[in-house]
Amino acid sequence: MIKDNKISAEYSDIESAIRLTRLDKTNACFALTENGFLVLNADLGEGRRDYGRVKLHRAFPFTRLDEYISVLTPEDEDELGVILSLGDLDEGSAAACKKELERKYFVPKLKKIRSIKSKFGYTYWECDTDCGVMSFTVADTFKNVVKISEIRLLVIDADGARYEIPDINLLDSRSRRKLEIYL
Amino acid sequence: MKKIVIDEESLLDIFKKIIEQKFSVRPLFCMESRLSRDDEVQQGAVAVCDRFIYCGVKKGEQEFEITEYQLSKLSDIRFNVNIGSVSIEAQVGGTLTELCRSEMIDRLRYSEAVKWIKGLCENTVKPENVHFTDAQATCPKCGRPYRGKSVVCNSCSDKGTVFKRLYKVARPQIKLIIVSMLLFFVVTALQTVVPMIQKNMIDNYINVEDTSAFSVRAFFWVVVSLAAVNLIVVLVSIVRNCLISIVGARTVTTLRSMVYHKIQSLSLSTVSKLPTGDLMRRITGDTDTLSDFMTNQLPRVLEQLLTFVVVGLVMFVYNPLLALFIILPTPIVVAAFAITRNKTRQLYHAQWVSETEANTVLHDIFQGVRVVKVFGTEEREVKKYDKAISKIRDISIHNEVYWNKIMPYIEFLLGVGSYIVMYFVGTKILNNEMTIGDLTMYSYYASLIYSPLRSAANLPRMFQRAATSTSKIFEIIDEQQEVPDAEDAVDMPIKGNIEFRHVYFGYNDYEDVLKDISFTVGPGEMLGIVGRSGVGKSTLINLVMRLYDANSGEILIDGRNIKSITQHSLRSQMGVVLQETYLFTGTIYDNIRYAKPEADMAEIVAASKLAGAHDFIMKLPDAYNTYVGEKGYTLSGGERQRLAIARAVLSNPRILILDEATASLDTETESKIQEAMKLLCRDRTTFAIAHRLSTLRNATKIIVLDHGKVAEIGSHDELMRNKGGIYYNLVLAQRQMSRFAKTAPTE
Repeated sequence: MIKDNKISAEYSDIESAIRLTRLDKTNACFALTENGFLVLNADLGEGRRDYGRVKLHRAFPFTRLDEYISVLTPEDEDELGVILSLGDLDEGSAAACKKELERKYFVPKLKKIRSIKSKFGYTYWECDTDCGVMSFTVADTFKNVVKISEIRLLVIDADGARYEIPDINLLDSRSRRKLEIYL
Repeated sequence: MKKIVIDEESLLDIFKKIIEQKFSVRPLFCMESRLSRDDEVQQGAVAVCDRFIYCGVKKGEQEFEITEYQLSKLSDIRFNVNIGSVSIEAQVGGTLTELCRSEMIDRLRYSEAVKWIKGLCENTVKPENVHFTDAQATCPKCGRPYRGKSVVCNSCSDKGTVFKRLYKVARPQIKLIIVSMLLFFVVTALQTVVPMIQKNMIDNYINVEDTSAFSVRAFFWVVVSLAAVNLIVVLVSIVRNCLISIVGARTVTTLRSMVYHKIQSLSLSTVSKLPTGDLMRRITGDTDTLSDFMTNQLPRVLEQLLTFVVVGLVMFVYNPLLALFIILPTPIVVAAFAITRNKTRQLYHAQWVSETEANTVLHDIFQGVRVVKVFGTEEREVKKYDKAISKIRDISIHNEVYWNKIMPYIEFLLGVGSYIVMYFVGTKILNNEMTIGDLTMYSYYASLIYSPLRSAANLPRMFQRAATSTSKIFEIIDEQQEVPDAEDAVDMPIKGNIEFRHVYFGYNDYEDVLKDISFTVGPGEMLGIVGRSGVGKSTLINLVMRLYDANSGEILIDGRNIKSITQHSLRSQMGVVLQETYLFTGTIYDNIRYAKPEADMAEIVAASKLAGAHDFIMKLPDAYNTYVGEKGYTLSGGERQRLAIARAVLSNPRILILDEATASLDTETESKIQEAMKLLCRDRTTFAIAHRLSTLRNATKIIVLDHGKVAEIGSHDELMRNKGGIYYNLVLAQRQMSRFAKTAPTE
């Protein structure tokens, strides 16, 4: 039913059509194996059981990092359930999931842009990042420098690796100047 | 430009040596592991040997912390793709372990390595047959992506600079170019002469104290000579400009044609990788930029350069000191211009970006006007547009203010030359060492020297833009054909026996869409292809049409490798009806005839009847002469499909490919065509993809794809006997749907 202009997933009559199997501390428990893989033990309607290794995927990787995280089977990546918010889980599970997310998403943050050389439409970047000094090539620069929000920037290089600038305004002015042409 | 290039070689070399020393075994191949399990950048390496894998992390100068994995204890080895990293995972003695991890740059290597490691573990590959191509998707030298699957970097290979190649294209017109160069000289020389005549005029006629020897006639001739020189300059300029335009236009046309031809001959994979907009931009936009550069900007630059040099020389001859004074400040002026140019370029770029954004908003509103109306979000869209144009306003104001504040100073700088001349010559005049005529002459020369400086500051950027455009054009021209014909490929008539043997294929560089596909189909048979959306049905068809080449395995036609037949011969014996029917601009008659231009009317009508199109065509006022395509009559989906079928059938192909050919048709029309299809498919080999299983009623064999593999294969009856199988379930589900439709409530 539609209540207060929002469709409530819990009380709706068409629940079965839009069902999100919600995983929280009441029905799910995550842990990391010795080798650092995420495993799930949960009750998804068929009784409590072990689901073995699972993968995570953020539904909103740019805007909601700790909310709406899909829990997937390892092979076919079918959705087993969704963690609406990491805060819904118990501490241990939340920590395990956080670690897994850190391992899955590798997006170095650019702190300083040392140089951007442009040649024939490709740009060659050399930057200080939170993972050290990195150099990479960007093809089709105007298309691959993406504004996620007014202040947040994503750069995708020719290999598909991603780099992030969390806040353009926090960059030093030299770096900003080098970047401005591509914004 | 690339990550630690120099270290890369020595890192792997060092690691290799250490492995050989420590474990007395030579690695089959090595790769880097640039990331730790926790995504920390590290100097790591992986060595794959015949019985072990060693993963090491550099801890000291020649020290590595090494983990050893025994291949016999490994199973279920997988290539894993994360966001920003790739890794290799395996079951080690029953426990899931991540062997190594690296950045995206290594994705091809890791994907290939997994294949080899799997082969070694399962004993399907002998160590001596391991041959690691160490593929990378981007060139290690310049960091640019390789096109398609080629491993040769187009940009790095020594092909001479961009301008050298441009010159080669323009070379056939070398005579015209030389003539226009000469004319450049002529014009400049003449222009330099003008001030001298003026000086003569002023000193000897206008400014003369003693007017007794004044000869009106002589003065008349001086004025005439001035006019004549100017006239000659004009005439010569006209000729020169015409020549330049011709040279430029011819060169650009040659380039445009080269690009277009290349694009046509390129395989589908390359062409479909570049969006249409990009391709069109290269053919038209980039060639336009180049054209403008060659016919407009370059000549002007040459002219100004020449003026500068010639005038400079003349002045030096006349009065070296003065010449020095005038030329000295030029670097400062150029620098001043360069700085302002950079700043103004940034400002205008900001303006351009904001204007483009506003245009995009407007474009969206118009394109999606239906959506806007339906959702009633007009006000929101208007606000969005208001915001965008306010931004333009703010930026424009800022730009104009800046321009108005700075430019006057810059323009003043241009006049510096005249002040210098005034002072220098003026004092000399006061000393009676020079005349007024000298003053006018030198002032004129000074202005001639200073005006090119305005554009000199622009030069680097102009060349950059032209170079970029030219290189983009040459990028296409240099494109290697990805699906080349084998050298000994022949034209061959096809009987229609097609066999796939363990075929693997992927569009992506690291994921296979089709895995281990094997089947045979012969003339008179129809192979139905069934499976979930996106499983690879159209991909399989693309392989049959040889729009792509398989990664591994063989595709045989009449027992011969598909590569041994020329593509032209192959496709001319195929008829295709795709999911999206593209009709070219032209009449219905033209469109059907496209497959076989030499067909006569009887053939076309016959094909049309067979396809069930004749009836609806005859109902149109212009029948077969109806104009369809972009600006023509809009046909319904079903009508287009039937045209496409007619087109495919016209050439009497040995292999017929139907990709959802009857998807847009209602069941009645479809069953009518089914009858025709039975006749159509006789003696031909047919591939049919269909979601509506009733379409495959006539199929001899049906192949069910699941997750890229052949899950089930057999005739309809055979598959139905496999209760619970994928095909069985699909058929039941569809029957349920139709039953539901039959019992749907009516008004």
